[in-house]
Amino acid sequence: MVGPLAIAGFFLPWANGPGPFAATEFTGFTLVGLAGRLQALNLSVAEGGFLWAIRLAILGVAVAGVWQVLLAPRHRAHLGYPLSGWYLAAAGVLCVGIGMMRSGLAVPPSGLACLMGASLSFVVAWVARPDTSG
Amino acid sequence: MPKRTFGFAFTGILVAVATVVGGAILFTSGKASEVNLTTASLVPADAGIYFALNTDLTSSQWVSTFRLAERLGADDPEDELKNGADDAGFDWEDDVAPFLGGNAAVYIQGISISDVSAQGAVIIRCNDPKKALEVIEDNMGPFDDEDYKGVEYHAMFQGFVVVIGKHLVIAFDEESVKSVIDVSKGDAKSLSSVSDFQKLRDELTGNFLGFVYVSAQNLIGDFFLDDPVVKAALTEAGAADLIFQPAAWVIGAKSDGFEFQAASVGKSGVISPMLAPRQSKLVKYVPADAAIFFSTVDIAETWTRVMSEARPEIDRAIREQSEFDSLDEALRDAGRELNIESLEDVIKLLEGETTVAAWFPDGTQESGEGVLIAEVDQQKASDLLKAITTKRPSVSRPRTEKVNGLDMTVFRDDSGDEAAYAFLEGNLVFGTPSSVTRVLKNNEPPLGALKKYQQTVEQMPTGLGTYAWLNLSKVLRLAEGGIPADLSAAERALSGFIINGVNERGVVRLSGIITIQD
Repeated sequence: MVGPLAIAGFFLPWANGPGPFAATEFTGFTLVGLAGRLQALNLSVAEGGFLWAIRLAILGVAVAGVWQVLLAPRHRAHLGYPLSGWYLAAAGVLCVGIGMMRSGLAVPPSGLACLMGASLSFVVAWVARPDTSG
Repeated sequence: MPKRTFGFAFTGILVAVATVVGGAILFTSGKASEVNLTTASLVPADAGIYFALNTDLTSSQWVSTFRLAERLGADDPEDELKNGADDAGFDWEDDVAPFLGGNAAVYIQGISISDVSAQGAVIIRCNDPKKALEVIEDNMGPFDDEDYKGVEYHAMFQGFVVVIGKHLVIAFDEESVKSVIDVSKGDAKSLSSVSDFQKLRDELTGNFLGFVYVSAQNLIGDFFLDDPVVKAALTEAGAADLIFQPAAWVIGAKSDGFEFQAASVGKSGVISPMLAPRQSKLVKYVPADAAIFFSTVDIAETWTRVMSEARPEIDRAIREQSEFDSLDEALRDAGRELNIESLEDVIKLLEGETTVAAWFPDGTQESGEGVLIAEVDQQKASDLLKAITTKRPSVSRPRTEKVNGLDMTVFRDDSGDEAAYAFLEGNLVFGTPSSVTRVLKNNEPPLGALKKYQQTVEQMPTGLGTYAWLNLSKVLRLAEGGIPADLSAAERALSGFIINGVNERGVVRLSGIITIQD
């Protein structure tokens, strides 16, 4: 459930743009594209590096979602499972935090809601995992 | 398989999956920035003018435009755009944003002189067509609802409006609204199905800010281009090919500048040798501080083609307007003045690339120097120039000087001004003694190696044919007498400009780039 929610969330709206972009709904996918278009401009190394970091961080959500789909059914012992799960949890907290800073307490856009759902599902599943230590 | 080995293999698979997923998203999200002219699929095929605007403010074109506007001195162009709407009494989010769905267009189907009318409509792909319709109703309502082929459209104050899918269509006449509905229903052909439109769109508009398509035949064909007198006049003038064929213009933004292109599916005809895509071989001899550089090719071949096609017309014009009986006679007369058989001999020398460059050492027009560099048959050119410069030795007083190990011939023309020529690696260099000397002695990196020149050429969406390059920062200083402080921020940001005529992939086009620096 965590993986499919994260993947769906990546392709659904996360936020509306600022100023004249207010009518544009940005998904994780379109944010990666926009950051790419910004990178095509002649930016300084620091600006370009920052944009690459943003793109990779957003891409990480989709990749983590796919890893969860592959690992959750039978390979939870693999390091990739908690790694991708906690990445999604952190991304969810960060995105919701940014959303609340921008819009206050409001119903989140569908993509962000899915990401939140994925984060919460993973945390609940992690906390409630059976104790295999002995 | 041992557990440890399986773990490594599985980790490898996960990394591979991450690479494939990440690569696919990076690739497809970048491609998504292209503007799709969806409005053309609702425009009737016989539209005379179609003008489309990119309304996706997050597209690479607008992102680049905002960035370039900042370089030109705007503080916050995105906010200025929003504030402009606010100042005009519109609320951006409620009144403007619903209309921004990727592209918007205006088309005109045909102009009728008899009743001074034109059919056409505005078609806007909307973010939120329902909300956009409400905005229209608030400003131009109330609506009277009508129906055509099962599609509800609305009569309003001075016009009609209909929503078709994500598109809002506004027209001043009912026929135009019905035409668009016919196209949407598949009962009439759309502009996007016209092969000439497709060819020009595909050649010009992967990305754009504005795109214009004009079919003169559709626009004014009935009353103008079908007139036998007009048609004969255009054919005789050699302009029929370009006038009758559809043409398109596009303006766009790139990372370092604005571009424009004009293209036609008409044939380039006699001037086609000059429009062949190529790379300049002679730019490597031009000093880097040249402010103006022009390059063309095959003047001799083009001359031959023009003469074979239009000699009788040219002869007739010369007979009517001069004392000569033909062009040949006029050229021979001019040739006699220069001590050669005909002026045509000079033109026929220019078989390869011909360039002209100018620079302004003091930054003022008065200090300007120019040079012509051309690929020629050195023996023929040398014989011809010797004949010209030795006609009246007492006037021309030719002398030879050594410059950088090369012979430079200096002579005076009839008005007493000095000129010079030399051959550099077989190419003719002709100009004032100081400009020829400058080219012969130049040990600095040439114009072709100048970053500003290379950057402007790189931005060019097509190959180079016949083109002119301007170093704008130098040219603009000329207007201010060489004083950079008097230039505005925008003028200081303008870097280079190329205007270029080329025939590429069967499309004749004029393209230009203006680059903006940080």
